[in-house]
Amino acid sequence: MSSLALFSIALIAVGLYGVLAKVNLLKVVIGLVIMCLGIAGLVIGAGSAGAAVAPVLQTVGLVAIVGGASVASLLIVTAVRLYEKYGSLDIRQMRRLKG
Amino acid sequence: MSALLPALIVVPLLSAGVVALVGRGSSRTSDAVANVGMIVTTALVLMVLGQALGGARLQWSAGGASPLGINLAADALSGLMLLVVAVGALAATVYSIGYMESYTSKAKYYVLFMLMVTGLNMVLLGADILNMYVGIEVAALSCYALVAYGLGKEYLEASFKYQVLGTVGTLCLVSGIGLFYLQTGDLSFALSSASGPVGVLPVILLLSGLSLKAAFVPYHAWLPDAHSTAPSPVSAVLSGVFIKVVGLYGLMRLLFLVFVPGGSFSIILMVIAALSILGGAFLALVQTDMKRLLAYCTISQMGYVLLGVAVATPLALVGALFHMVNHAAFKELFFFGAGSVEKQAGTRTIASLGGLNSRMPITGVTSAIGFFSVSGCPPFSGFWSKLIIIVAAIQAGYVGFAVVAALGAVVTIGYFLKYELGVFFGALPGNLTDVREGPVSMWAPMVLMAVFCVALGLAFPWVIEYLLEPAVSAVMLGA
Repeated sequence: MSSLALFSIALIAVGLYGVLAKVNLLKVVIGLVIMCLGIAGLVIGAGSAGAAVAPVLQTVGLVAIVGGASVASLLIVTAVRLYEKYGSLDIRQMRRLKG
Repeated sequence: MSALLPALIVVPLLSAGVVALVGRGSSRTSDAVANVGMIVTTALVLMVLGQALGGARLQWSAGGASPLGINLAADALSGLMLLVVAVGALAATVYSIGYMESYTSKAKYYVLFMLMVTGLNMVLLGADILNMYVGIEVAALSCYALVAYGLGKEYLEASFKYQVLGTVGTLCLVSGIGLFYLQTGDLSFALSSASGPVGVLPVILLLSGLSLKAAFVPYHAWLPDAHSTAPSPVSAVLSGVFIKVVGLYGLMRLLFLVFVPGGSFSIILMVIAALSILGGAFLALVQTDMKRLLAYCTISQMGYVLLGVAVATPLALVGALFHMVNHAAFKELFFFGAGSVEKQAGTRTIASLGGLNSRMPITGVTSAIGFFSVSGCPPFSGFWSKLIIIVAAIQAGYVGFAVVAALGAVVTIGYFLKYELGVFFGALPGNLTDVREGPVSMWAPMVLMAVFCVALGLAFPWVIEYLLEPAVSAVMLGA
């Protein structure tokens, strides 16, 4: 397994930890972005592992990066709006929807 | 090469741009542009459907061979789904004329709405998994923003939750697509199943990603929040159309490519379906909010569709597609009705409503028709589709799952009785005596959907023969 693949898997693990364990909205977003980059790295790395570069996997990776960036910007806007409403970024205080 | 296919993407995209340019000052202009855009889209869909039902596979491509270029294709399955999207979205844009008056900046709403329709059409026209994925992303992004459109606390919260889980879903899809390509060397839906076995990992990743998008139990956490807080026309499209296109459609396309019917993955899909049917139904039973109850009902009804897809015999697929169409009709009807009640009566808590039949007769009658359809009363459409799914499950030897489906239907009657009796029958609370029916733009879509509920039920042999069977043979082409 190449070092890029190992690094990418580590990134995915760190990102997943951020999404699952953090209670700050912005840290959740950061975790999601890290996870997205890890997966993009993994896919792109897999595409250039052999003798010939597989352009399709590069495309998939790029699409993932673009999609991740756009959803990250939307997430940050939502987090800022939530901060304006609650005066806090703590996810534990946002419990209007339950059941 | 058929220029109709890119037109199906360009027309809604163009109307989004035009609304953004000219709709700023006047909400009438935005209404007009968005509705004309949807009417043109529907007309184009009918032309595509006409050709696709004749057995033709329409194709269009630009920028190179699959999967690097933009490759569009439409067969009878895409045609059927495109029709559901176009009619569902057209009804919702008409409904928005009256409903969205209470929100600020209608133009921005229509821009997002038309972008969502663009994304959904891209999903349905994509000829390979990568193109489909790009469509899912476009539709999902506009959908996240639409859920947050009200900008209240609960809107933002629901949208944030939806965005996080939706992104995890797309990440599963991306890694699944990458692995799938590594193993098969192709991403096209037209790939023959002889091109080599697909390993377990990409199948699990693709299945998880699509299940998160389609909100099957246990992937359903975001759906009740997102679908109940979004503005009602958006809820209607989300529940009636959106989750089927971004979740189930992909599953059906991949069904005979990666999931071998009858194998262990079919059993996993059936267990997920049974969990969705019962989980959604029992959770709906305890809800006190009209739209939240409808959202849980969506989870339950999607379970029926998934059960049909998982059984994967021709009869079961007919049942699944039929239930998908029926669910689109009655769920849009219910969300339009709930939106009207919320707008006119000012609340959607079932306990503080009652007796609205005398005040909102059209909403009451159409809602009753939807109730008969969803709970499976014989002449109405929901009866036939549920019956076909249950019969197909028994025929294929899955008697246990058929029993679960029948039990779910009984619970469905239970929670919808609570809904109907609590909102439209009984004593009228004193503060609701001056409630009136909404404007024509709000009740006309309800009447249209009620007509579908009745007509699809009465004409079911022809619907199956001319609309559903060609679509099923398109699904089974890979078998």
